[in-house]
Amino acid sequence: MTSIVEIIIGLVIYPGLIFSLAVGGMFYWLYRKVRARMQARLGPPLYQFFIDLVKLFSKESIIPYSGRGLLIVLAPLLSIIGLLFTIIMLPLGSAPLVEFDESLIFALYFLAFPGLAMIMAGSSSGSPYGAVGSSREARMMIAYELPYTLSALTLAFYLRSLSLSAITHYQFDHGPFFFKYPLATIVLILCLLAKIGRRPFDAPEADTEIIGGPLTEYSGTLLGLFEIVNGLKWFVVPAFVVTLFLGGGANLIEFLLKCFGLVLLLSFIDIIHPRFRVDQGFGFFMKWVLPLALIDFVRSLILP
Amino acid sequence: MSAIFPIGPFHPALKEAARFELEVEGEKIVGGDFKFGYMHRGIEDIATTKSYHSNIFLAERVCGICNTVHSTCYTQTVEALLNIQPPERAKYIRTIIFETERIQSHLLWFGVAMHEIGYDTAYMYMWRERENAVDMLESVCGKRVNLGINTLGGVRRDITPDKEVLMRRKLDLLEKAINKVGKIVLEDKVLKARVKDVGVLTKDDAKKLCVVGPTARGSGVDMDVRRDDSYAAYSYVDFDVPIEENGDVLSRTLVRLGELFQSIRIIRQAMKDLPKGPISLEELPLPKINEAFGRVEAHRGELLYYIRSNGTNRPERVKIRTPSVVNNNSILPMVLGETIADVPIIIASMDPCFSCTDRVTIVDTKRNVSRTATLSTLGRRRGL
Amino acid sequence: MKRHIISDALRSILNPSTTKYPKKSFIPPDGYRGAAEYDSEKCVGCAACSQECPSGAITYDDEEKARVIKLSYGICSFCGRCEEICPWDAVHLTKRFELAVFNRKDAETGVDVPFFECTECSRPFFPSPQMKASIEKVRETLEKYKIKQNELASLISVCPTCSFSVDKMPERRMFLRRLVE
Repeated sequence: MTSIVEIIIGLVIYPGLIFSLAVGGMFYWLYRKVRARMQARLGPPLYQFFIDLVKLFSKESIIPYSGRGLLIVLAPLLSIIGLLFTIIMLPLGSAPLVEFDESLIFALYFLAFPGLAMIMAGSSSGSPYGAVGSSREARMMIAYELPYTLSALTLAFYLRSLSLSAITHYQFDHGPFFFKYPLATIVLILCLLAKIGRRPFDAPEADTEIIGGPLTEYSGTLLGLFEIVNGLKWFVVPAFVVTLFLGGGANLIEFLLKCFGLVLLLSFIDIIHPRFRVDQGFGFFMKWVLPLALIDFVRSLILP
Repeated sequence: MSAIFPIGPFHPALKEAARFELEVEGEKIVGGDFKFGYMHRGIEDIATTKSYHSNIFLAERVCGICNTVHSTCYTQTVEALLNIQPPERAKYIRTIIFETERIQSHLLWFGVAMHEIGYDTAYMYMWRERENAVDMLESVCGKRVNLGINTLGGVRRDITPDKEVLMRRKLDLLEKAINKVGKIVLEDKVLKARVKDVGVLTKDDAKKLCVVGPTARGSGVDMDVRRDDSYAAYSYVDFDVPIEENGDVLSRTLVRLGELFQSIRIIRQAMKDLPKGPISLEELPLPKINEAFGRVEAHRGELLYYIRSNGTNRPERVKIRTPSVVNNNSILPMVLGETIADVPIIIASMDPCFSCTDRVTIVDTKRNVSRTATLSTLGRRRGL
Repeated sequence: MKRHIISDALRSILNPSTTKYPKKSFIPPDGYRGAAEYDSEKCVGCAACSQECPSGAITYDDEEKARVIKLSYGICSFCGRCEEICPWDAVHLTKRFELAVFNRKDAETGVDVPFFECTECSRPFFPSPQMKASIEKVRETLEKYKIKQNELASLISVCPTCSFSVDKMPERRMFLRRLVE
């Protein structure tokens, strides 16, 4: 059991806030650069995310009169806490910082915090755009949380264990789970797109329909906090999939390379699709994605 | 119970400022109110203080995308007022520039429509292809927007042989690009799910609300000023008018796609038959007391100008009736029953140009008098 | 289903359509209507450009020793009417389009046309290049009526105040009678 000081250093420096923000910022830059180049544009330079953060933290933050101040400030902080607690439980190449037997359930729980925080931010902001955005986010969460949880639990039922380190150790010996349960991998990657909030499932944050969705009334420091959440999401959420289905990594470099490849795949799917309407997205998840997850889940229950 | 959802003066879905207040229940729309007037600049009043020739440049600045349309219609109306005819070469050059601007405007519309449904990649590609059309305009007129090609009695710049070579090359590139645009729009299932059977305007509603342009042609109403009432060189060239029956957003898209192909056909014929001769008249007569109407087929519908002169070198009254004024009334029947997510693409599908929309009418309630203009007075206009 | 977008996307990776603009400059094509410049050799100071300008950007002011013609880029609409209407070919629209300044006074151009002084009372009254050009243009008319050059020059180089004085009247009447006969 690690000590409190080590946990705090892990939360803030490695693999916590500073490391994840640096790597997540680079993955976000990679997404923007690939997207720009495929659209015949030049794209932003490498340091764009970080100077955006510096600019946002130096501006004034205005809270609307009809909004609830406490919930507005609490929403991004909740997201950041959820993502940070997840990353210290993931094994980045070697043993994780905090290791215990039920870490898969805890990881699934903490990774639901960003969605909940978005709903909280939208409903408490006091503007109609936030209300519509938070109702859309709630609907999408119902749609994608179920297949996501099912495909993660597929592994738990196969291995009869809920520990993330057990999953990675199994994959070191027998090869990545991607070959054994390909349908569950595809389901999880599609749910990733909805979780990070990218096309074709980015209806909650549609900028031509509801201006900013839940984030409309955020400005200045609070918007900077949400940008930190965005940067962290681009690292933590693919890292979770790489740990579960793509074999983890023998060392940090291999882990990061696998995350890099996954981010490229996600960018490519985002670029070539328009945006689904929220009921069309819900129908897609219910009609096509959920049966695939159920097939692999039942397979893991029945077959040894 | 319904709440008010504003698509207000500032919104990423609108290109210019207008206010839509939609009553929603959940995400379904049950009513609405539309307020315009944010873009009023007093152009009709300024036009009475400047001379006839200076007003050409003022009329161009009513709208940015359809500027040659306004300048051509104004020039044709003043030429009808003075009872003169421009030379044949000027008419052909006006037609070529007009149709090139139509290509530019429709490609811009395609890009904006793709952006409204979230398809940014297609938006960037269509605006890249639009650069070819704008390069054609820049080589002839010297500017990309606010072209200034018209003068009273002809055009100001000529299409020399080396410019013709450049224009033919860009036309070939445009034809390939528009073919690709058609394939991107028609073969994509996710896109079709967003635009098919959305925002339906029936043929009866279209006739009752008197819509014009591609909004009307997408609902089966067959009207086009270029064919019904020819001006410039349109009576010498051969073209079709695309009509669709369904009345949803997809049919309006297909009408605009068809118009793009027809524009390329018109430009090719006009460039082949370009007659030789002067490009403008030498002498202009003085204006007498007279009034005149003029209309053209703008990119969004039928545009009407009315000018009255009192014998001086400044017009007494200039009245502009743009197609967007008429088309904006058809938003409410199209939007009832749809969800909020569809409102931007429905608004964009009738291609609103809110800069063109705002003309003020003064209603005189004290005297309680209303006057109408019949079709026969509209018919007595041009000596053509 | 998506093969056009995918093939376009892969083909555009190496072919961007945008450039790094301020570092890489842009030259417009020929015939571009940019900022207007005056040619002070040719301008005679007739101010026809100021009469015709649709937006009122060109103004002129008769100061003590010169006529100052001023064109303000902030009001100019770059229509090109001044270039079309100038009878002496003295205004041209260049290709310069980067016109942002920090001080509003820097966004102006113009020409100062020096005045010609009256030979009697030495008060400046008329732009001197316009004087020379008018003399040149009138010369052709003189050939028709066979009037001598130096006679005319002495007649018109007198300001309106001095030329309408009573002792000059008979001379002018004689001159006009010769034109009619």
